[in-house]
Amino acid sequence: MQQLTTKLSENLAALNTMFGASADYYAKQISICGCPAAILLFDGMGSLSSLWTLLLDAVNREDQFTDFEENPAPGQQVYDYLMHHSDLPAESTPARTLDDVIMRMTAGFAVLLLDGCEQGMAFAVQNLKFRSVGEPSGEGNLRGSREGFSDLLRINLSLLRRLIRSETLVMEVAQADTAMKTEYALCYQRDKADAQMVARVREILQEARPELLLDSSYFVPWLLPVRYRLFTPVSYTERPAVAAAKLCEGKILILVNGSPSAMVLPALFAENFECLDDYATTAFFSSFIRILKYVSFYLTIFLPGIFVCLAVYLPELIPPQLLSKIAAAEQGTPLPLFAEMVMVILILELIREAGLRMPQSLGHSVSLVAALIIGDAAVAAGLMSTPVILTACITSVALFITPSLYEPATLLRLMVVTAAGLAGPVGLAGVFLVFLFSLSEVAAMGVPYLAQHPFPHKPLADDGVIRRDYRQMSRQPFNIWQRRG
Amino acid sequence: MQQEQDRGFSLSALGLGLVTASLAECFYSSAGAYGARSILLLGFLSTAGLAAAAGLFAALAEKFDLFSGQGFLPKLAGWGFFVWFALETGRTIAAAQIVCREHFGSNALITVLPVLLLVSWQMNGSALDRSARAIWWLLAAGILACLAGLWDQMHWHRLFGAEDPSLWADGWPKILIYPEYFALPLLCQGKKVRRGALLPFWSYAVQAGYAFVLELVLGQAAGPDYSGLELLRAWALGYFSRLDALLLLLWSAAALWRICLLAFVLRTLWQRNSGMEKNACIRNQNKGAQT
Repeated sequence: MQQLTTKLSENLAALNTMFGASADYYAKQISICGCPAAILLFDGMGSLSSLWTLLLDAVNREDQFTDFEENPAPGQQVYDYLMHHSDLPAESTPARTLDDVIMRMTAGFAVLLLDGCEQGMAFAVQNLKFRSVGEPSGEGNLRGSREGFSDLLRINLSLLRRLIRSETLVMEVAQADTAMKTEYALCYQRDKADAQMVARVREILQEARPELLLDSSYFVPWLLPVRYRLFTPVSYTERPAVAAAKLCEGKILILVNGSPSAMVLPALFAENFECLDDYATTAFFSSFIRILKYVSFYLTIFLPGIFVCLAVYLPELIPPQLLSKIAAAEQGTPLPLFAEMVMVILILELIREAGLRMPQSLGHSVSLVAALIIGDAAVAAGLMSTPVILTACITSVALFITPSLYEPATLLRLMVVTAAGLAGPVGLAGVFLVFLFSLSEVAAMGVPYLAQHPFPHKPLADDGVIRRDYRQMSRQPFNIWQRRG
Repeated sequence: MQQEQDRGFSLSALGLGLVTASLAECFYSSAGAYGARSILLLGFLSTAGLAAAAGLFAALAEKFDLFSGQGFLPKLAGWGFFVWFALETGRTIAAAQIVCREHFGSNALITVLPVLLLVSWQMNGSALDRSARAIWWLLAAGILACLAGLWDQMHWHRLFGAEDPSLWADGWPKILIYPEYFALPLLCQGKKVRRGALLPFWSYAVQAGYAFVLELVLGQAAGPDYSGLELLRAWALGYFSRLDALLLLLWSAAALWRICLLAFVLRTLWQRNSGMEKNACIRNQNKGAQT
């Protein structure tokens, strides 16, 4: 870590070596009371007009600096005067090293270096361009706040602070040890989060060495290292309101500069089926919606596999009328039922991925063409049967009800179909256990992912598959650390 | 998670394994070999005796630290239980294979089982314990559906034959002994060890309940020509022609879970007896913020 020297020329030379070739590097040499100085900033990140208004306009009034006996005034004296006896809005912490100077400049600050002074002074003149605080596209809700996190860390922290106006909210900002020196924030409620766990997370994040840090999810391999895992016991949100609610439950939030996605840990499996709207509607309706979500999630995973297993291995379990219809539809297709189901699921995944990655203007065309091919042409050509397409489509639609479980559900659905198709009922039973084990094995910070799940000792918990009246629930506030196994 | 592992299994998880094993016995034992009254009354006495023996053994095992794996006697007991659990594992695998082959016409268990054991090999006890809850719910739902399907076929008068045979006519009913009854200090911790002495009653409840419903449906004349599976075959619900396969499918899942549980116990016993437990703990330490 290179210290700033008393010679301005040396400091400027070092910075010039690093950033001289960059078009956005701005270094203006000035004189304050005869003392050579330099203003440094990155164009576009700091506002020059703010800088002139705040700084130069003030320091050019030389009559304010009559206390100095020498002319030119020594750098250290000018620094002390500006820092402690002027109205300039300087940062309270000086920049002592080149790294400090760079960190301030890349955060949009302007740094004033003085000849004869080993410290730089930072001014908050940020003028960063960022995406506005809009509604997140991935987390729809009917009631409650419409705000979503932005890409800038400081903006996101201010959104949180605005919601939790309490001294217990702690937001620690640090720089990750990456090539890009990305900033991240660790947020928690001092009186609700487990202090030991916060310390452990802080330590892990400090020791983490990701090559790049573009999102909070990049920290997962350091926080929860495991070779294979289907379910990850963390959740993500782009809504400050959700993040604030999670903080009030004692959870820990990690935000990364440049990403609107906040990581919440630890998370519970049951939370994938909850949303803000649940608490804004009646307990009865939200319980109904939650049951619907659970059913759709299990349908997503198991329906295609059960369909294949029953139709191929246990047709006695299908009512005769339905069985005859399936058999009639299957007679006209060249592929076995199992292969047909796998093919339809894979095609649906292709369509989804294409729709997601394509430019929005083309997305609709892709969906339309795909719907025509799958829905009509494949059946008309006798390549696929209608019951198979219907089953796969129901599960694909049901999958979007719990988008946070999309990845494990997609993989598990294929696993279930493959196991049921190849090994029949035994494969189905086996893959069900794999699903169950992959859920029950996962834990974060000692909190099992399956805690408060629909199969606990108390199935009708206050806020489980169904929920009680919000007034009753509020009498006993939920804290995640109560769920520690 | 290590703390959780130290707490051992819950009684409901151990009970699930015993209920699964007892159901397998009920499926393949002769229906009517013992009267429901004989199983209910004499079986209760046998079970009470077995529970007392299990409780006494657990107390002795705790006193002499029989499952510590250190010293001659604990090592002997440890390897003895290892063999017993291995035999029980073999028996459960055989029962599952018979059900799969006879009812699903498949030998896929031979392929599925190694994969499942591989997946569950590194799992800790608490994860197995949590997964047991879901299987309990499924099994309970299956049993309730089965009872609902049999409801209109149950008739009380079938409990009383023309000649009321003596309680002792069939002899003393067979009692099922599983290694879990006597390995409580290994499987549970604290108060659960004492309450675990009542585990034989879980098995008894299944055996007696099955015999009772069997007699309600088929009567005393069922005879040894019928196996217990006839009860499932009698189950019908509207359009469905073979609902027994549904319960057998659920039972298969429970049986596979029991095999994983027994494999976990075998692994624990092996590590404890051969002094590898500490190494396993050290390997589990680098888990980030998971524990």
